[in-house]
Amino acid sequence: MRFNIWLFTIIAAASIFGTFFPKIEVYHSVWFSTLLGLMAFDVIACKLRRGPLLIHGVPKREEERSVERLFTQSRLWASLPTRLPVESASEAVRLWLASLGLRVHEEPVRAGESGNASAFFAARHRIQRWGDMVLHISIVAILGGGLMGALYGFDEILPLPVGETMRLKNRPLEVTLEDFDIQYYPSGAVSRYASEITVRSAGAAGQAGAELARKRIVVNDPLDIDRIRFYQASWGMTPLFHSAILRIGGRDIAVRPGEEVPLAGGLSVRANRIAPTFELTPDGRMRSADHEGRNPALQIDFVENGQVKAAVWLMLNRPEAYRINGERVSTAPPPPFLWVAVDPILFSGVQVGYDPGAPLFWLGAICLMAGLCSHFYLHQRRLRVAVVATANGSDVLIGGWNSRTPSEFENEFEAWVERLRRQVA
Amino acid sequence: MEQTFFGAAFTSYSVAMSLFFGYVITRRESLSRVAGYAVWTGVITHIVSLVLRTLAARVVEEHRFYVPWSNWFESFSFFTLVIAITFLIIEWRRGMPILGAFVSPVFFATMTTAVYSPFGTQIPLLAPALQSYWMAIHVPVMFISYAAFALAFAVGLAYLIQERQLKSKHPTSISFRLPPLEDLDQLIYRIIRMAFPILTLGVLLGARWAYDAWGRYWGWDPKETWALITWLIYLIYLHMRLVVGWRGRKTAYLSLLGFGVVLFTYVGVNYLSSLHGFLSNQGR
Repeated sequence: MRFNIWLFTIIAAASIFGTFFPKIEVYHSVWFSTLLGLMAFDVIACKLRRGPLLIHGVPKREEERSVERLFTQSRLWASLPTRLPVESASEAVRLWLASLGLRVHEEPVRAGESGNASAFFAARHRIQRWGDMVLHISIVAILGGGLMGALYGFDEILPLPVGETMRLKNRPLEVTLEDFDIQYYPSGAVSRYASEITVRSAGAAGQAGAELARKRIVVNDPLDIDRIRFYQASWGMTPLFHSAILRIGGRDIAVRPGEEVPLAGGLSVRANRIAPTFELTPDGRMRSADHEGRNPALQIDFVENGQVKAAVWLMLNRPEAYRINGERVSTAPPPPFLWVAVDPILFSGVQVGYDPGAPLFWLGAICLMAGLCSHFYLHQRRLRVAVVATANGSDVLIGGWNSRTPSEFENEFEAWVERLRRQVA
Repeated sequence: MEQTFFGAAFTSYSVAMSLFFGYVITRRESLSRVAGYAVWTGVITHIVSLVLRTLAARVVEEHRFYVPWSNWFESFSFFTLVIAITFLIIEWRRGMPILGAFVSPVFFATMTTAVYSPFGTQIPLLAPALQSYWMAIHVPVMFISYAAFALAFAVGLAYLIQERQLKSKHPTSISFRLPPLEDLDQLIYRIIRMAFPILTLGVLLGARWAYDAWGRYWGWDPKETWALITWLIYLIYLHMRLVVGWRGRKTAYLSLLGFGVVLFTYVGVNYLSSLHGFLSNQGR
């Protein structure tokens, strides 16, 4: 089997492996990159070797112009003896080829045959012959674009709370989240979210730089500044909040973060932080799995004389599952403490990406499509026709070649020949 | 109303499958003709049901980009429609009604998978990433290629059955209905040759969408990776045929393998991918 087929098989197998074992870094490993590099090398080597064949569409060399050699590439054959002299038969052939809608080139024949013979080359969809070359070279462009992006591009995620400004690590730019808006379907699922961002050039210490752009970015509609793109990638809850409402002993109490609110009997309550997606680790630790707010929990302390008497986790969506000092406590409903509402501080995940290889990648993609369409959808058909003088008149020799399997040209070729047969009869 | 038309489509496809089987068994040409009409009826009523569904869904502001292939049910339903249309085109171009006996079980299976969707059949709430016009471009292009590969699979199956029949001393009636091996082999190649650029276009359009939605055109997400694997399998098929010169049984097996990979890319990967998965949106 050929080297490139082995290579495709190995790349496919490695890719499959990578999807089933995501913890093993396959796609950015040196050996996988080497495989992709080999693919590019194989394409270049293969096309350089086979490239000159392309020129053979029209014979350029003197020795190929002889009548006998005109048919070396032909797959289909026909011979029509006529009583017409070479000149008349040639004129009939010329008209016939033109009537088929083919592009006709009259070819010079060898000096010794001049006057006794004429030769024609005609073709339809000759551009098809470039398809193979274009599509293979485009693969190299696509891989090259990917390599450029990997070497010289960057990707950063800025988790920006509203009103905050963050500076990029890779460029002297600052991004400010002016506003963040999130909307929900009646079912509670997120329907859309958007960030109003301002991008400024990074100013001197303590000074704001010049504003470069301001845009409300949503998923699928990024901001683009000189090919640095700012995407609405994600959103989430921070551990921070503006205020929360607790219900303790049947009374609703508004709390602010870190503020102690007195209760009865010298006891006070203090709300500290939010775990957006509360979970217990296998070893019993409490933590937030992510920022998505799938199971928000609020950590509060009951304080007496400056001493924390109990640390409690309250769940917004599962009021019965509260924990005191880490332990789940079972009591008859309703629970003694409830977390009723919260005004959270959300953050917007603004992704900033720069990929200098992207233009090359897209150019490669367009060329790949052009090459594939040309190679597979165009049906190149070529005719070589020679008119040779004989004792009774002339012979018209027709050779046919097509870019697909010969059976796909046979019927058409026969119909074409039949048409000429009627004309020269 | 939408459900009535959908039900009519499902019934038509089922009737078509039964008639194609009847055609194989009885060798009555009239059955294949009626089966063809049943597929046409299925396609027309199916299209009407999808149009009605789209009109109903677009009432919601967030659904201005809604297209009726946004969740499990809709996706399989639309896949069925594309397979049926692809079959009608090939049947019109090639005139091989017997292929209906191999293709109709495929679209019957995809339609049944749609109807028994584990996530229900209601109009989905579109996640923010799906609220894009790319949904109307990228997905149908992928489905057209997948449907063509489903056809290549069916023809590959027909090839292997015919080959076994010809070698057998007691060929059954199906052998007399099936075209010669060379025609089937040629048809598999033609379908894959037609579908491969479409698959490539679908993957590249997906890359373009990813570039706008996620900030990169390629991220080795399992769905993207499996699309590449599918592409590589058919690339191997084309190289085997065009460069190495493989014909017949080996390439028929490759067409079966290719469709297996297509199915995994389409369904199986959803359990590996958080970005593309039906599960990421809970199929709704």
